[in-house]
Amino acid sequence: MRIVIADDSLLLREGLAHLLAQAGHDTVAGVGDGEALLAALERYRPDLAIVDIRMPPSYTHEGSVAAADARKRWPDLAILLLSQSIEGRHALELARSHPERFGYLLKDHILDVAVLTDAITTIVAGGTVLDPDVVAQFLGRRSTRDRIGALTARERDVLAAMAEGRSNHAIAARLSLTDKTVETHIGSILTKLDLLPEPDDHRRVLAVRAWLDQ
Amino acid sequence: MVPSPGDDAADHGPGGGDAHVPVDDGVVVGLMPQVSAGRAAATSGRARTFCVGAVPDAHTGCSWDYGVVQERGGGRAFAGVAVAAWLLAAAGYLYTVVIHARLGGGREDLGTDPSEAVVYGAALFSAATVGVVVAIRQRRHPVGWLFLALGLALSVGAAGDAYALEHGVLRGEAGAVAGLSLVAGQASFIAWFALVAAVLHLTPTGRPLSRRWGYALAGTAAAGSVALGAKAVQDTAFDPPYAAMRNPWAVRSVAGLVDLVAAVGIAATMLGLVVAAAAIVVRSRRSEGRERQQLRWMVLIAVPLPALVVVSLVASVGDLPVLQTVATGGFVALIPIAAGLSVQRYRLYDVDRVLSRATTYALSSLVLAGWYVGVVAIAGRTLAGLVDDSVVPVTVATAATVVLAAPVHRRLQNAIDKRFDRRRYEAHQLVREHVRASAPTRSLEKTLSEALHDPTLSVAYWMPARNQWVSDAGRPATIEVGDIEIARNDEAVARIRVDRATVDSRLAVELATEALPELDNVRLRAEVALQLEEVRESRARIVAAEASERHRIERNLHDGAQQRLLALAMHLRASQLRDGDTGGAAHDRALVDHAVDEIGTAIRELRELANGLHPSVLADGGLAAALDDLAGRVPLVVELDVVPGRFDAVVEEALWFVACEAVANTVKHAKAHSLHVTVSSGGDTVRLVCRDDGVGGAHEGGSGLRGIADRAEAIGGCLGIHSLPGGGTTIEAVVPCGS
Repeated sequence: MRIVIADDSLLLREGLAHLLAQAGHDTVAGVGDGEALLAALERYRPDLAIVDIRMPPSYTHEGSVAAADARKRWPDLAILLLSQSIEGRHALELARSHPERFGYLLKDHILDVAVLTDAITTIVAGGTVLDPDVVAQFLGRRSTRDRIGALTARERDVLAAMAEGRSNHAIAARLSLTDKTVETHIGSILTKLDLLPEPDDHRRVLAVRAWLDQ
Repeated sequence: MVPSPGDDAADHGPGGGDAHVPVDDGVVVGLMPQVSAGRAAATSGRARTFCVGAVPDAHTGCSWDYGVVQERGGGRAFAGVAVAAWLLAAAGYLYTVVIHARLGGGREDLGTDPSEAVVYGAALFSAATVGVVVAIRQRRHPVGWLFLALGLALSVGAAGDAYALEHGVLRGEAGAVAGLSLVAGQASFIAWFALVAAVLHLTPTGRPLSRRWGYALAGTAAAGSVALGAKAVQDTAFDPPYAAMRNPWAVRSVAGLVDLVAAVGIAATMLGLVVAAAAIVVRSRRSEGRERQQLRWMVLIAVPLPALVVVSLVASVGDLPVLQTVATGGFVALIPIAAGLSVQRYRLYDVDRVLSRATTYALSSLVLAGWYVGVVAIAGRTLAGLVDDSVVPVTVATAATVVLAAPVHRRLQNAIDKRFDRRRYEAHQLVREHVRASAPTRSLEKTLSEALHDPTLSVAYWMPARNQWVSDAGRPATIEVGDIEIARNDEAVARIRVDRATVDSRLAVELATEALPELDNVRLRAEVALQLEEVRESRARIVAAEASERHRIERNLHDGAQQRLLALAMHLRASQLRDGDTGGAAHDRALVDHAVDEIGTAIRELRELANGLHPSVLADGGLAAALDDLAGRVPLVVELDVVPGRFDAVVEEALWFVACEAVANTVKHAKAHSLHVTVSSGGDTVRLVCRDDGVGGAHEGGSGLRGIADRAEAIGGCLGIHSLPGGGTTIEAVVPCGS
């Protein structure tokens, strides 16, 4: 898989490229800001862009701005946003408008190589991956809790796990449920969220989007 | 003194040194030297003109219509004439008094009633003094000269009789001079009547009311002249003690005709006086507004004038000299006084201040002289048996008089100002009330501004320690050339800037001197205010510096240590993956796992640290996002009601810290179930309210709450804590919006 990395820290770019190389991915370019990212995307047309949210010149959310631009220009490009701390506002806006082929993870979580590679796989396959911490914070908010009032507590756990990009099996393992029960919960969630039967992945994406839209 | 540009120029001279006028209390006041120079320049040309009459009336905002522009150079000659006339009149009176005093111990039949002398003197001096002042101030205005003439006529009347008494009666001289002076003395009353009539006709505009009234004036003048002429050649049979004297110019051949002409002339003159009184009534009726009020006092005197004339006639016929003198002298004296009274508020002749000063000095001299004489007499009598010489009573009287002088003068000045110079009196009253008030309801600047009728007035206070002028609020103030400087013991206290076109700077100085203790107080308060302002600014700077330092550290943690650790962990992972491919020991893999976990923990700790320093969500999404984030992290039901939009970063950060502390407080101490956080903005402020339903009892003494209060105050806001035991806690911060 061909990947472009955008992060203003050269050390981190190199470390990440090294890690991805060992995981069998090819980092075709590493850039330090949003403008360079767009140029690199234009030039290399990679499968995936891994973008740090906070980049020069203002060190606020240049990364998400550049990602939104990239999304408009290359709708098929998979994007994985990274950030040091939870700066979810812009990332979530991006996810809300276009959840397909989109992921957002905290940097320390990708030290778990499995998380990183799973996320890359899910995103490039068209899915959505959100960091568990971000999801937890989102779920923890009363306003959102109110809006997802139609779901049972268990269903909400399952939905959160879905938002994290986990497979049915992973969800079952995590919540100590059988695969069958997880499927039942997912069916119930999709029904409550009023989602018609469609190809599985797409419905899951829509569920996550519905959750984000709440 | 009446201040005028010309006066000041004369006082300071063209060079214009820094003219400091010492006043009471060791206070020194003065105008800036450049002012004097400027004024001198304005008056140094040949055509040195200044406007005397056109002093704007503060009550109506307009100037006198009869105001004249006067040339100062030419004015001096007229002033000299006027003063000479006054001196002449005074000399005549003095002569009369001396003659009568010498006669006092002589023949009983020549004695005079002292009341007569007093009334006569009052009439003479009031007429002459008002006359000289008006003549100098407005030499083209006839009334001044008429009053001077009246003073002279009165003087002639008195002195003529006195001369005749001394030379004709006592010494029995048969010369023509004694006879003529007696004729002049006896006939002078005709001139009084005619002059008073003219004054009544010409007040206050200097012109008769109309052409017809002008004829009446001319007729009166003609009748008076004819009567005087007839009197000059009449073979009058004088009353005792002049019975033996004769008019040396008497024309006896046509004595009947002369008598008739004299009688008709006198009657016509008196009639003219009555007509003149009517003229002023008519003028008053026709006038409106300002002029009507000017004339009020004149009318008050004019109305009983016919009665006085009648009394005077009756007294004359009935041979009652005292009554006659009182009646005639009385009303002759009353007219100048009425003219004076009419300036009480409306600056008739623009002589109010002079009149008030002159009257005060005259009255206080009289009172003190009376007091002195009284004390001498009493002390002399009481001490007669004890001491031999007159030194002791005189010394006692002098001491007693000195003690009394200042308070008497002040009281009289006050009483007279109240009558004659209402503006000055009211200005002083305002300032006095302000100085005496235990808690003045307005600023001294405002009081002075109102007292001087100058809305532009401003006061700057001198801060010697800082070498700086400041306003009463402690803000830097500018000073200008021309500001009035108030000093104590040669050290500047304040500078007052007035609109010099409308404000009398001497009155301003007087008021400032009166207000000096309060000026001192305000200066001290301004100094405190200035220090407070500086402390406030330095606190804001400290908070700002602290915030920027926190941002810097947060940035360094984020871009430095965290990235390095991440990169390190990634490299470890990468090498682990590679080793995995080549079959590294399980033991090594476990070690690397452990190292990466440790690094992850370190990164998370650094992230928490950085987030505490400056939450990225606040910079990222503003107060609404940060509070949202905060609400998600506390084990409480948090209701948020936050106005959308961004505020100044300083404001957001301060309110965020307030909210964090309030929430922490609630979580730690309140045992609350829910917390309601509201952010609203209105006008220039943003308001954050955190209200919980806990046990209450929070107080500002706690270091946490004190800290957020400081933070709110540092950016110009304030913090309120309402926390009754059992009633929940509400913490409210209101801060300015910022930019």
